[in-house]
Amino acid sequence: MSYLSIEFSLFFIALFFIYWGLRSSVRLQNLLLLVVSYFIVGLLNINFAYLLFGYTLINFGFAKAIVRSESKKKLVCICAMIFSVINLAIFKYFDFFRGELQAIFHTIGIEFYLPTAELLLPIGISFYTFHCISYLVSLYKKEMELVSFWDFALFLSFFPSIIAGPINRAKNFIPQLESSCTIMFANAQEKKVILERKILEPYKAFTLILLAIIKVYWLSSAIEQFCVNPIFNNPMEYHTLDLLLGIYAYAIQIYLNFSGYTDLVTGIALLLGFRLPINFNLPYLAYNLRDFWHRWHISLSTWIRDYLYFPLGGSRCGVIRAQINVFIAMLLSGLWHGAGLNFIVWGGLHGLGMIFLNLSDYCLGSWRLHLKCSFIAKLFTFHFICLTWIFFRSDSLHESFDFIDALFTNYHFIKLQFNSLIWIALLFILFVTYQFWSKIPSYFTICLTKIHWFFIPFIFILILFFVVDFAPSGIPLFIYGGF
Amino acid sequence: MHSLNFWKITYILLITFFGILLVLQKSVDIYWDQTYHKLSPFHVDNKKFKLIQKNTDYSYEKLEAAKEKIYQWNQIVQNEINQKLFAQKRVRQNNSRDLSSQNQADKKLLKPVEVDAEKKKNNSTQSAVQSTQHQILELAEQIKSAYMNLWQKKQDYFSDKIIIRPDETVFFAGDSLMQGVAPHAMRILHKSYHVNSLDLSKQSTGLSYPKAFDWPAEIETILNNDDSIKVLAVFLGPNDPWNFLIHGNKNYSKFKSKEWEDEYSSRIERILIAAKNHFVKVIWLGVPCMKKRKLDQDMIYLNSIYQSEVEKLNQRYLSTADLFRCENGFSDTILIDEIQNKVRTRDGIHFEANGQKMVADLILQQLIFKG
Repeated sequence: MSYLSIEFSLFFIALFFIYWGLRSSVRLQNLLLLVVSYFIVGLLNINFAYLLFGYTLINFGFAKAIVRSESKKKLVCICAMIFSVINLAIFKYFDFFRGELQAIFHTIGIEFYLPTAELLLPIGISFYTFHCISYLVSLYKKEMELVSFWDFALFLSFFPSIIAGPINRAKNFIPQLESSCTIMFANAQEKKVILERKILEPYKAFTLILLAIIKVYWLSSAIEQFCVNPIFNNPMEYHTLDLLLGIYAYAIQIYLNFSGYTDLVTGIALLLGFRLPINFNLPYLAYNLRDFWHRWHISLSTWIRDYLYFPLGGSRCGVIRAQINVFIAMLLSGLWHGAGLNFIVWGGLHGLGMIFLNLSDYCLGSWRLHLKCSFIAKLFTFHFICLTWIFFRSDSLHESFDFIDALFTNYHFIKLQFNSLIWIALLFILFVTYQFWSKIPSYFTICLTKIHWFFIPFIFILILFFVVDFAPSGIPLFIYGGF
Repeated sequence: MHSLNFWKITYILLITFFGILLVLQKSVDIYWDQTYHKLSPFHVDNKKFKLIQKNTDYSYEKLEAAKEKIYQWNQIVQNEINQKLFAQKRVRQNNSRDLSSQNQADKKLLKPVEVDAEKKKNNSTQSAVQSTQHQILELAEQIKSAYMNLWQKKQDYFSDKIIIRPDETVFFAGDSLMQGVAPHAMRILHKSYHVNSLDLSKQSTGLSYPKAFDWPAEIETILNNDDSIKVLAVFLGPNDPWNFLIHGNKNYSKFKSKEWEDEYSSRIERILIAAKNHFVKVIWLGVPCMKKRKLDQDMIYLNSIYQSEVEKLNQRYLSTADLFRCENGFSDTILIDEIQNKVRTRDGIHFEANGQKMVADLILQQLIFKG
C-alpha cells in the first residue's frame, strides 16, 4: 500500500498507538516494527518477503564469519559483496541483458533463447542491498559490533526506508535500534542502562508530513499530468519554448516527488523515534556539478563515494586515475536507477561533467566561476542538470535524441500550446527568490509551536482539504520506488 | 512554546484523519468506489458534509472565472506570437490561392471610396471604412472555409473508409492501455502525415465510475468544442468489470446483471451518438487476453458488449486478440521474425513498448490519408 493513502494513514495511527504503548520495552517495539515492515513488503508480494528474509539470513552468516575470523575476513567480505551485487544484478538487470544478449547471439547466427524469467523487481532491493553492504564494511573495519539477528533483520527491512531510501548507514542507524547500552565509568566500573525511545521533534514531523502531501500528492502529480507527460510523450509536436518549459517542469516534478517522499518517511520515522539521514539540500541552487551531488540524493552520493569511489582509489592515484574513478562511480550511479541505456547515458553525462569540472578547476588554478558570479554559475549548473534529465525521463535513448532535436529545431510554424513565456518568466523569479521560499517550512514549524495543541488538527484539516481538493485525482507513484 | 506528548499527538492524528474524511466525502467516496467497488465505510449521509465540497466547487468556479480574465490577456500575447510564427506560412498560402474573383470583389467595394475625391481628404474615415471592409472579407473567408470543411467532413463520414487529412485531429480516449498506445500513433501521425492528435487518455478510468471520470460527458464536451476532430479512438475496459451504483438506485448493481449491462451499454451508446452528431468516425479497440483468468473472462464479456454497440451504429470495432496471439492463451512474448518479443508487462495487463507500437500500427492501418 502506498504511504500516501487512507489505508496506510489508518494503519499508521494504529501502529503509533500500539508502538508507544510498548514504550517500556525497546525490544518489543523493534519486534513490532519488524512484523509491520515484513507485512508491508509481503502485502505487495509474499515472495518479496521470503527473498528479503533469505537475503538477511545469508548476510547474517557473512557478518558472523567476518567477526569470527581475523585472517579470512577480507576474503569473506569480498564474497559477501559479490553475492549482494550478483543478487541485485540478477533481479534488476536480467531482463535487460537478456534482450541485448539475445540480439547479439542472433546477429552472430546462434539460435539461443534465454528464458524470460518471471522476475519481478523485489521492492526495496536496491536499498536494502546498500544498507547491508554498509553494515558488512563497518564490521570489517571494526567500527561496529555484531548485532542480534532480529535487529539486523529490522535494519534491512525498516519500512520507512525500504521503499525508496534514504540509504541508511549502519553506523548511524543500528545504534538507534539498541535496547540497552553499557556505560564505562572512569573507575572502570560498568553500568548497563536500559534505553527508552521517545518521539522526536513532533512539530517538525507534522510539518514534514504536510509538506510531503503538498509536494507529492498535489504539485508533483499536477505538473506531471498537465505538463510533463504530454510534452515528453510527443516532443516533436511542441514548440521550443514549450519543450523548455517541459524540461524545467520535469526537473521540478522529480525533485518534488523524491524530496516529498523523503520528507514523508523522515516525518514518520521521527514519530517512531528514529532519525533518518538528510537526502536533499536545495539541490537546484548548486553552484557547480560537484556541489549538486552534495545536495541531491545525498545518502546515495555519499554511499557511492564511500563504498565505490574511495575503494577504487579516489583521488589518491593521480589526476587521470581519479577522473576514471569518478566516471565509473557516476556510470554505476546511473545504472543503479534502472536497466536502460538512457540511465547509463544519464550517469555518463554526469561523469563527463564532473571530469570537465575537475580538469577545468585544475587548469584554472584558483579562479572559480561561482566565486566571481555565483548566479551565472547556478544558472549554468541548473541547465546542465536539466539537459541530463531529458535522458532520465525519456523512455529510450532514441526518444531523448528526438527531444533534443525538437528542442533546437521547433521554433517556427509550431503553435505554443502552453503559456510558456509566462511560466518560464515565473520560474525565473522563483529561482531567484528560492532561498526565501525554502525557509517557509521551518517558519511553519515555529508557528505551530506557538499554537495551542487543541487547534492544531483543524489547521491541518483546512490545509489538507484545499490540497486534496485541488490535486488531480488518483494516488501518485513514487518515482524512486521503481528503482 | 508548547510541547507535545504522546496523548496530544494521538489526538492530533485522530482528529485530523477523521476530520479530513468527513470534509472530503466526495473524494473518499470516489476512491472507495474505484478501489473496493463498495460504499465507503466513512460515508456519511449528511447533506451538510457533501455541501462543503460542493461549495468549494462553486468558489472554485469563481476562481476559474478570475483566471479566465488573466488567460484572455495572455491569449492576446500568445496570438501575437503565433501570428508572427505563421506570417510566412500565410504568405505562402495566399500565393497559391486563386485570388482573381476576390480581387474583383475588392475592387468593387473600394471603388466608391476612391472615386469620391472629397472623402479622400478625411483620411481617418477612409482607413476606418477600408479596415471594416477587410474585416468583412476575412469573415466571409472564414465562413466559407468553415462550410467547406464541414461539407468535406460529411462527405468523408458517409464513406466506408476512415479518411483523414492534414491539420485534422485524431482524438484518443481511454485508460492506461491507451496512454501507452497513443504516443506512438501520435508521433507517426504528426511526423509523416501532419495530422494532429488529442490524447486525453487517463489511467484508472473507464465507463463504470462516472463520478471519478465521466468519459461520455468528456467526449461530448471535447467534440462540441473542437471541430477539427475527425476520428475518435477508444481503448478501455480493465477498470470496469465491477459492481457499480447507478444514479438513483440505493444498492450497487451487480456486474453482468441485466441492469448493469443496460446501463453500461447506454454509456457506450452515448459516446457513439456524440461522435455521430459531429460526423466523427469511431475506432473502438477490443481488450486483448489477460493473464489473470477472471479478468480475461470479464474482458471477453465487455468486448462482446463493445462489439455489438459499435457495430449497431456502423462504426469500427477492432479486436486485438489476433495481434497478441490470444488463441493460444495468454503469453507475454510472441514470436516475430523468429525472435521472441516481450509485448506484455509483468502485470499481465499492460503492454511493453513493442506491444504498444503494434496496437498503434493497428489503429493507423484503419486510416486512409488524403491531401
